[in-house]
Amino acid sequence: MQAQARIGLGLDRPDVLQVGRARDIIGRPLVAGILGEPVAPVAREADAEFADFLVRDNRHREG
Amino acid sequence: MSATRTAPALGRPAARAKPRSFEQANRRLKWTMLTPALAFVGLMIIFPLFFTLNLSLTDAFGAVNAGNDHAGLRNFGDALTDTRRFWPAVGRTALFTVGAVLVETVLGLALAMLMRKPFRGSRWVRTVLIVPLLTTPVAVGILWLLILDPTNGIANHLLSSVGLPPQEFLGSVSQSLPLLMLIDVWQWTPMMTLLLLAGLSTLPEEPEEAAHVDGAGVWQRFRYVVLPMLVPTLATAVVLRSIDALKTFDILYATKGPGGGSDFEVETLNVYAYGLTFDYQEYGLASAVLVLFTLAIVGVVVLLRRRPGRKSA
Repeated sequence: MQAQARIGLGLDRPDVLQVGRARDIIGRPLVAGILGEPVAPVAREADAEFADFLVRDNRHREG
Repeated sequence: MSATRTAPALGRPAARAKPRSFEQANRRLKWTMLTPALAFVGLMIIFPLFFTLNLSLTDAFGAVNAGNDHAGLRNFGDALTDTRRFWPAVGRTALFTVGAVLVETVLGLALAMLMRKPFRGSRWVRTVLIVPLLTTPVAVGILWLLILDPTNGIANHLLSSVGLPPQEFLGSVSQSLPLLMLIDVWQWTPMMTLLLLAGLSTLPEEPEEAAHVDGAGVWQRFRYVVLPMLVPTLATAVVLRSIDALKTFDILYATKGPGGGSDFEVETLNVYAYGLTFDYQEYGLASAVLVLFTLAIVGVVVLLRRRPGRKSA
């Protein structure tokens, strides 16, 4: 496991600066599921929001 | 004034002469005495305002003192087109303010009318009434968290004792904002009562007595005699309370934490701006939101102050 940690690359998800904000967006469908609301529309909205967020986060990275 | 100015030219050289008249000395002393107050206003009010305004026009991120570029009005555009967090926060802020201030005004006025005439124990009642005002908002938040705790709180215990089903209270997405409005009403109605009581105590008794002699009932005397005379005090109290309610942050954060809850259910503009600043480090965007918020507050105050002025004019 230690050897794997040394050679492994944590790139299975986007590398972002604003981790807290990313968690808030990704957490929305989970919250909807917990509250018993329909998850699919919330997930679609969160996906769109996350795409906007990545643009903004990337802008900060380049800035 | 002109005499004091031309005096040095006629007499001795103008080099740092002692003040020659009482008026001149008084003017210098006035500015000397004003300097600390002006320095305070400049440092504590004007500088932060302009700093925030300047920050709102940059893409500041990560650290306020890190290098940032001028972004023009892009942050304002980003905020105003954000329908996911910004506009819902505006809606919640408006709902919270209007709901809480409306109930506080009606209750405060009713309590002030009840306490207007002296009665046995009125001093005790007034003392008890100001207890919520003296309590710090975070303590109020924790107090109500304990009362409304779904499992151990006394509120659910009372509900079950009268046969009602237990509630989630602040754990519920739909109940949180109304309950926080209720907590605000609990804390701030006494202030409205005290302000209106002060206003009522300055009203002349003759018009009401005249109306009484003319056969006006209790409601008619209140509606057509007392209330119109109380409008200036009422307007001032509503403006003061509205500004405070718009800016509410402490009880929201103390009860629901960052983001105003897991579904942002009590995220008002203040909570949103705080989250942008300290959770997301988006200083430019947060400053733009705060500038918009400040403008909105100024707009509300101007709107509320205009109407009574027009009526009395």
